[in-house]
Amino acid sequence: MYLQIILILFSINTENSKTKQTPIPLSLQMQNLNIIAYIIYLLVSFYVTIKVGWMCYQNGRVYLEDIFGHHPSWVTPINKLLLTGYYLINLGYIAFNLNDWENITTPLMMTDVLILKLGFLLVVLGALHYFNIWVLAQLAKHSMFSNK
Amino acid sequence: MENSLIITAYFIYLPLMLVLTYFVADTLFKNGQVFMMDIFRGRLEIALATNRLFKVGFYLLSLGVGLFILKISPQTLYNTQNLIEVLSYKTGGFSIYLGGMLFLNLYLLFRGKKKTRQNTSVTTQN
Repeated sequence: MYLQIILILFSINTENSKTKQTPIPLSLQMQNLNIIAYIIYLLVSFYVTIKVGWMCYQNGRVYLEDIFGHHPSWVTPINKLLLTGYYLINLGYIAFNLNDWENITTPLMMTDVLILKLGFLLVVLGALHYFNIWVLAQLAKHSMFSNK
Repeated sequence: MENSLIITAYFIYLPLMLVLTYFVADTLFKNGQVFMMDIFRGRLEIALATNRLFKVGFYLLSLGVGLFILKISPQTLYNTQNLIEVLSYKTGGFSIYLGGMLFLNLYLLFRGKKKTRQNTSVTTQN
């Protein structure tokens, strides 16, 4: 079953080549630029997201220790849960965004579309990051978890 | 051809959905046990029972939603490129939903903790 899936994934648009008289050479058939663009987009954005998440996980620990000073046993679980939630939402959003791209015909267009999409994604990630910092700051200010 | 593409999509989507649900539930409730113990002030039985009930609820909701959005209409799926698009759209949406549920659970735990603290302060005042 899975071999079949892989085969289907990499055999591209055979219907197109059947309708035309002259068979399209294999090197051209393999160039469904949309799929190449998707693969590049997914690789780059997953790499950036995972790297940023790991950095936040390691550096955010200090803040959590500050906020939950009276519950030291809470720090590690909260940190892990925050990391999981971050990955779920961000990677989910990236995959969600793969939905309606225009039809890519030339390599130049591919770079255009890719750069636009990746740039937009990075802006969204940055905004989420600052929102996160704001929430942490609010928590620290009210310190609702300190035992008075 | 159309039919086989859709079945392929289901066969990729279903394992992905199951693994994702299992992984998130496992992480959430393994780490959530500490909070539960704190909320119920170390009464082990109640804490574990509540944790398990939350877990069952989480599984039911997640698998329910995952299966609910399974259907792919033949009009939207006609070549490999569409297969990738539809699959990533569905999996991404499901993943965002799971993340939302995770944060909701965290919020509930925090609320429980806050309530417990208020109750203790009231009893100590009395």
